[in-house]
Amino acid sequence: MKKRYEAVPGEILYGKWTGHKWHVEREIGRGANGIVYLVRGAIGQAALKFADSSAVAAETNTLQSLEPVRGFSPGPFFIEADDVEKNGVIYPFYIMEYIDGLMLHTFMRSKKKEWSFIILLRLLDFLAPLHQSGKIMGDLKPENFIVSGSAHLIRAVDMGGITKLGRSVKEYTALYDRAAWHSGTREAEPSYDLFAATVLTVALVHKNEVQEVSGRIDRLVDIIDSSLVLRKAAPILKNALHGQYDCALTMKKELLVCLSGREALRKRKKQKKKLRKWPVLFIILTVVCVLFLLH
Amino acid sequence: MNMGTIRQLLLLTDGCSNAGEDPAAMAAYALQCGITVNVIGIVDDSGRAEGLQEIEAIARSGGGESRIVRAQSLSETVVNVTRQAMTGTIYSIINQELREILNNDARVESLPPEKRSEIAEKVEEISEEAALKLLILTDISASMKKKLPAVKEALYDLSVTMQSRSGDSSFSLWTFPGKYSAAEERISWTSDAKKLAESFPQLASGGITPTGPAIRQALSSFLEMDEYDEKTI
Repeated sequence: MKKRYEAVPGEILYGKWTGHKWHVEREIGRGANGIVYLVRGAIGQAALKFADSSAVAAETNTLQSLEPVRGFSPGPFFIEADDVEKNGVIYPFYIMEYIDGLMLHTFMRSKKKEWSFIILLRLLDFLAPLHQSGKIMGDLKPENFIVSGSAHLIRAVDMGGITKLGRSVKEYTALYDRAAWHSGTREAEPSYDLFAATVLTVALVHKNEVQEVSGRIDRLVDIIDSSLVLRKAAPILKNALHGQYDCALTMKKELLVCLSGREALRKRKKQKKKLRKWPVLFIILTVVCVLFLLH
Repeated sequence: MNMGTIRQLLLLTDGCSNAGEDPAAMAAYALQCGITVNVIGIVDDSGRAEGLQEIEAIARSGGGESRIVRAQSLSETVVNVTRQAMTGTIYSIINQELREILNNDARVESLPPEKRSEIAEKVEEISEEAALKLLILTDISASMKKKLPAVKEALYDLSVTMQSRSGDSSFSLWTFPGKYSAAEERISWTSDAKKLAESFPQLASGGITPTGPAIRQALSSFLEMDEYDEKTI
């Protein structure tokens, strides 16, 4: 593993290529492939991520490719990439928008369990434009998301797992990975993310139980069936676990209908329509018959 | 750019070697033969990890990645390390080319960030499409007993990921210590990754961990293959 740059609060980092100065305020995240700091520069607050140069370059590409999506990015806006050079060693980093908010699991700690559905709905909103742009999230886990603003928008803060459709998923966490649950391949397709989003939702409510049964999909379904909270959306969650959805918005629509308890109502409507059709058919048939007889 | 084949040796172990050559030296030798050595150290639930330094040293001199993990997160680590090491190998080839074109200390980091992004795009393509030859060398000494189910699961997982890739992949499984030698070939080169997890070997008895000699012997598998290739050409 290459050496990492460890910045300390109060330190000023000089960008080698742009000459920009970044004042380090505090560390905000640390993962397997990098460290993120909250910094302040001429443009105001921003997030700065140190990683090795291949990761910086790859994530730069990912972030930039996300931006054309309706002027809104599911992830942070990319600002610039640069290096810090210290004692002859180059430490690549990039600057992105600082997204203020609570990490998904921190957010849930202070909320009632029903909020897990709101999170799922918002996650589907997050996934839809991403999938439309030909990519999937891949490493879909609570630590990678932030709930921001009063509308509870969900945005990603770690884009390391984002993978082009059709390729093999770049990064994943076993607990949310459909292949680890023996429920499909690791090929990047929307249903991969929808599976992960579903496990994430179940885990938001029953974290320990999910961890215990990890890898056994039938036991995961049991958790959903026996959960007072999740039971309401059980059909939709199960569909997603069985790879029935290939579109986040379809899943969202069905989830909304299911949660409102309107399923029964819709069936009744269908019956009515059928009933209404019969008299019409009958009249047409009699008219045809009468015409035939008249001839 | 014609990438040829990416060749990797992945060492799974839980401790220090205690017999034979220095494993780091053998890893350096592997790198000279064009094979990257990655090491994953599996620790107990207690988090106690002996031989951490050796694990890092092997990976460093083998030009690869090293991680220390608990058995539960072995699966994702095996996949992520393999992927990152592939990227690393491609970058080191690019660096070599840059040194030849520009000057002696040129590397990707000497280019401005925008240029690096273009390279990254290309690297990603290559790592998806290049052929991969991966030899997994697993420690089956007595202390690994509790961890072997996790190793088996991880190998199954790796096969799932590699099958989703568009490039060809082939695998070979070696274990150490062997009955009659430092290491033994369990599954010879196959493109059917499922075989890796299906016929998983029994635990060996005895307390020796000849990591260095095991690496050296396993390397012969790559070298033999090259000889074979030459003959067919």
